[in-house]
Amino acid sequence: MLSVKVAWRNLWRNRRRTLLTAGAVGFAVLLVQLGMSFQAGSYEPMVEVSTRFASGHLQIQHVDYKDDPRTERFVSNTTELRSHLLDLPGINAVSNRTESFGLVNKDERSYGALVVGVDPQIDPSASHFSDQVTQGTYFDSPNSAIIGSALARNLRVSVGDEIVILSTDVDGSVAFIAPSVSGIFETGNDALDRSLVQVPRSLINDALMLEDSAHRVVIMIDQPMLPEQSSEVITPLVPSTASLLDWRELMPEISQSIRLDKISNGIVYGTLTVIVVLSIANTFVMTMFERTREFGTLRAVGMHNRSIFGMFITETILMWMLGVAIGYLLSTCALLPLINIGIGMDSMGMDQFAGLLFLPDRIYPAVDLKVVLVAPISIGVGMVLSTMLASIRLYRLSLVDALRYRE
Amino acid sequence: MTNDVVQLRSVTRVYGQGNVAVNALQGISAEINKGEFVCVVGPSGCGKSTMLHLIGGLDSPTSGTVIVEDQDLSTFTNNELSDLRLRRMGFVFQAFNLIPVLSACENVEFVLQLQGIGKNERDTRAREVLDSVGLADAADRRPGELSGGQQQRVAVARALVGNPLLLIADEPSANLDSTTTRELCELLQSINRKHGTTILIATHDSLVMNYSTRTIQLEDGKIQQENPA
Ligand SMILES: Nc1ncnc2c1ncn2[C@@H]1O[C@H](COP(=O)(O)OP(=O)(O)OP(=O)(O)O)[C@@H](O)[C@H]1O
Ligand SMILES: [Mg+2]
Repeated sequence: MLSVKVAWRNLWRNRRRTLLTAGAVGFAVLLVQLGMSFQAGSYEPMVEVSTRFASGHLQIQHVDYKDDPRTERFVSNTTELRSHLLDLPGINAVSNRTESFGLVNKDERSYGALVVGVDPQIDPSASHFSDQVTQGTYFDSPNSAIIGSALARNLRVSVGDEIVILSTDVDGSVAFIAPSVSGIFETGNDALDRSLVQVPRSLINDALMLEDSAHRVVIMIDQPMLPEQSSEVITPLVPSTASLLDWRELMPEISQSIRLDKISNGIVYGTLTVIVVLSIANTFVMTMFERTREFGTLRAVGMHNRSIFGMFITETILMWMLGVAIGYLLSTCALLPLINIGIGMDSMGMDQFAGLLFLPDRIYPAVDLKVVLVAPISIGVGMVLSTMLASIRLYRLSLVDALRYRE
Repeated sequence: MTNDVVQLRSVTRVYGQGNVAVNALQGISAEINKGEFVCVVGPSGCGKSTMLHLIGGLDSPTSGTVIVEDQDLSTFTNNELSDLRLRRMGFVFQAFNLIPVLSACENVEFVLQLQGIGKNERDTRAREVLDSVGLADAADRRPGELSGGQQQRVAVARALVGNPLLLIADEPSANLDSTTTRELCELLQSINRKHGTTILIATHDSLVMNYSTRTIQLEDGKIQQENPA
């Protein structure tokens, strides 16, 4: 088509200007794609790491447990429930946990702590604690315990020592267990290291008369970023006195920080796009001034306004495609190596945060359709709008004035 | 039906308003017949270009009527005027006004493309017309690589390729030397004689006037006299 040919050649009338504009588009595409892919790549590992130190992806718990956790608010027959859950698609681990607040004593010292009963054979499939044991081992007998490093320091407990934990059973009577410390864990998260004790679930369930019950049935799924999909299949199995919660409800601070991160990055990318588009609009306005007489000529020869506008838009689209191609080329070069090696959090000065916020050690860029399309489309829309804006003047000008126009 | 290609009836054109108003045309009436070669002459600022623009539908009169082929141009929409120019008229400007990024041949083809004519026919016809204006060898060069006279001949070829009824040229020789001007005029004359194309030229150049069949003399926006050649 001749008009595409004209448009293409018009682009190269001012080679430097075209290359600069396309380069600006390309660079903006590169920056936004780099930013967005690392951003997208950081969420899933962040959720993965934080859920494995705490809530898991989904939980079945007594309807009132979340607002007011009490020993008697439990889910019963959890072994059977677990095996039914494991039959469902998309579920890769289920771990039952019993919880109780207790007083941990060693000699004259005592500290309050959260005592969690886990099945030592099962819980490692749903949590990272077994990997965080820095001294001793992760449970060596039915009457053992692992405790946080800060708590161990406070109690002056070392591996092999016996501790006594006082708590209350389902009836409100005082109950106690006396496990020996088989391991000390250090997660890097102060709250966990200072006030958490894990014991075998059989030990604490006996003491609290909980039989096969648990306070949290923790479920790990294949697609943690899409918990609603799994919720749907799990819901029919949830007992009537219990409810199903996902990590966004269980750890609202994580989903909030993801939302905040998306908003603040969106503002950065939006600003970048607006700056690039404004500078392109400025170029277009100048170009249109230079082309006033050409516009008059085309009209005088018999071209319709809309065909001329079509030609301008074609030029813009060609320029956009050139810029996006440059951008894709640059971001492919930048992302291909990084997809395999990732970026270490320490190299970004983020390792301080890592312990607090459950950030992973390295993040890898994740490229999805959004990453690929958002920058090119928003810049493209901006460029088309700029073309309209820049050509308004020509359509206001009388034909005779356009023909007589001197640059 | 009359034999008139163009009729002007009491046409005025006022630029601007109030104190700065310029009466560029002050009520002119004229006819241009089919097959004529008319020169509009007169001193600078007398309204020659204005008259041509009105006839070409590039501008509209303040009062009066412009009739082309028995149709009142004031009843046309912008797009209809474009189509009229595309199919019935050819323009040649003082400053050539070629599309710089297209070769001579492509510049000529452009008009045919707008008329919706297919690629092969376009190419053949464009080369024929370029040949007839003596530019067969320069067909694939861009305007920047052509002399002024050659560019103006490309512009003439572009104006002619659609077989217009009327060819309008505003000072086509202003940027040309006398030899080139003579060549251009002979070209226009032969087109006028061979195809019966009506030609309307605004000019200062007495050389050009010699080729006309009639001149219309303008002064201060009024017709002074019409001289049959
Ligand atoms: N857009 C405009 N605004 C105001 N005045 C105009 C405009 N165009 C033309 N004029 C005035 O109208 C008058 C006629 O102009 P026109 O261009 O038709 O003259 P011309 O005979 O073609 O002159 P020249 O031989 O110099 O080309 C002049 O006085 C000119 O200054
Ligand atoms: Mg003039």
